[in-house]
Amino acid sequence: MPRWVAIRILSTIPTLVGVAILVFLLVRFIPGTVVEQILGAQFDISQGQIDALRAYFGLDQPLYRQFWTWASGILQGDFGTSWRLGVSVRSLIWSRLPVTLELAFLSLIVALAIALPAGIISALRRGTAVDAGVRAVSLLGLSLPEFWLGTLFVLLSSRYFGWSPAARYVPFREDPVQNLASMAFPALTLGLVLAANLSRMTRSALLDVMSRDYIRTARAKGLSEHRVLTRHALRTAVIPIMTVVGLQVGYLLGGVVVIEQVFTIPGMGRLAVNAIQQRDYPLVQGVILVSALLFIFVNLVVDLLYAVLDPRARVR
Amino acid sequence: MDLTHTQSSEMSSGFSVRPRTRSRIARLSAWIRRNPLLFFGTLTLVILVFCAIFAPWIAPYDPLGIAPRDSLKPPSRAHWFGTDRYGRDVFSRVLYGSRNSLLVATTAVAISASVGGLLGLASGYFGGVLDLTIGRIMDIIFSFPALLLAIAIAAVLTPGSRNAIIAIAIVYIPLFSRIVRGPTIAEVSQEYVEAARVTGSGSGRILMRHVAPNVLSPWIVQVSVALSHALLLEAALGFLGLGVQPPAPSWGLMLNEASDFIDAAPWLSIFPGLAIVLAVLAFNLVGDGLRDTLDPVL
Repeated sequence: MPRWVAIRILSTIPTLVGVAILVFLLVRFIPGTVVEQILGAQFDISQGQIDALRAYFGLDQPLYRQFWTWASGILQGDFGTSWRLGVSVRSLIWSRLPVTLELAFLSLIVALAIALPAGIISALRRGTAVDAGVRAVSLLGLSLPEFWLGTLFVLLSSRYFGWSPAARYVPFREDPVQNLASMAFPALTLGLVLAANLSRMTRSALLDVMSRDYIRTARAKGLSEHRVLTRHALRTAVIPIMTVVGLQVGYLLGGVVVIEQVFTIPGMGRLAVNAIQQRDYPLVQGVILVSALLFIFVNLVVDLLYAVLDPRARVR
Repeated sequence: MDLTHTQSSEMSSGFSVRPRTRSRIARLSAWIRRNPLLFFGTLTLVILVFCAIFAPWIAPYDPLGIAPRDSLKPPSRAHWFGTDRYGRDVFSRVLYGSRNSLLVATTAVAISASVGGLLGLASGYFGGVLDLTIGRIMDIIFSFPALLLAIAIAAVLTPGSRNAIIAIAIVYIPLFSRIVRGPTIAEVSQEYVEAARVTGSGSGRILMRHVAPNVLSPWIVQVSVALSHALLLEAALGFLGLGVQPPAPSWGLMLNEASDFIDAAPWLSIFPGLAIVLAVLAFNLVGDGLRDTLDPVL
């Protein structure tokens, strides 16, 4: 492994530790004691029972000891047990994660399929009606709450097409066609909103590249406009676009939470919302931690790809 | 002599009132033509804020007034936006909802813009361990998907508008810290900072009087972008039941309450959603317009 790859990977460790500490502390900020939260105030329980529960959850230990127990568990793949469901948090996340990843992946494809052509055309036809149209639509798209757009899709399709996109979710392994059909509207919703942002970034990245000297040189050499674009401009523009895509994965991982809610898809987002409503804190911690890890991982990959494409980024 | 001169010039200016007014209008319309985004965005915002402030005078009904007999009525002359399940007037609730939604978003951004801005200034100016520490903490906050972090914070602190404000504010602090830090580093190496230091100005004075005004424009653009994000985030929190609590209206919460009636009473979903889109679009227009004006490079 080249040295710069190792350095980049190692440099995420402090962030990972920080993220773990933050997720751990988050739950400790709950007002009142956790035990009261679980039992609810309506029960008449003795101090002894409270103490026993506190000991059971390890809450009688000092904070650093609690963190250590929790963190070393995670390093061994043990995310704790759901308070409400009595099942291990890991198995719950494992069963929901593929659904969310599929939704996020499909949304990203939709977004790229729309945003890249739109952004490129907009940049090449700068100042024309096409450019103005793309910019206006993407500005509108940026202003849409994704869950509202999803609601509109549900409404329109059930009213005018006579079928419900919120139909029951079918796992991919059972029936791939049905699965993709049930994912179509959710992915379209998230993809459209994401495309609004990406097309703007694509446009400005390409405009930035097109104004550089080497593009003028390429043109002066007599290259066709098509060749200038594909061989010279797009290659450079890919790098900032890729960075934005990496950052937008964070948006996707948040967006799936509300979209899964709208379309009743049993992914990690619904798991998180249910966990929050039921005050199932180990599960909340697990879901948030896994999402953050995914986000960090994607950006690490983007950074490494970045360095592969642009050797200047390797020198740190 | 002087007196008469002044008088005559005033006289002549008195005569030229008409052309001057026309030129003022001409200048305004020229400015609008140059900054159409900024103009329409600001105009929309002014109208929205006006509606929010004067909601008690504009709203035809009490936003909390229950009228079981009018439950789930479609839009009509009596109820422009229809009524919800309790027979409450949706138009009045959207108007009052703008108060809560705008208040949560602007307060949150005010907090994160000032805290983040100060952190960025300190980080860029002092450098060293402080810069590293702040940078690390910002990286950590930034490592969470924004909506998920906000959900987690709002949920843990117990749902409500105050905690939604805290959650949104925390999520956006790193944006401001980062956007201020870079330009601050560039400014600190300028000669005028050295000059101010030589003349005995303290760090605080140099930062606030000399450096801050010069890193203001990216910060201002970021404020308006963050406002549009914060409104969307507030709506999402409200939609998940983690923002403003019922029976008080907020746009996101109204969409949450509407989700059981998407097909039966679509007006419950449509109008609060349109209100969100309008407000977010206005902030985005202002953001884009400001960027064009303050930062022509991009």
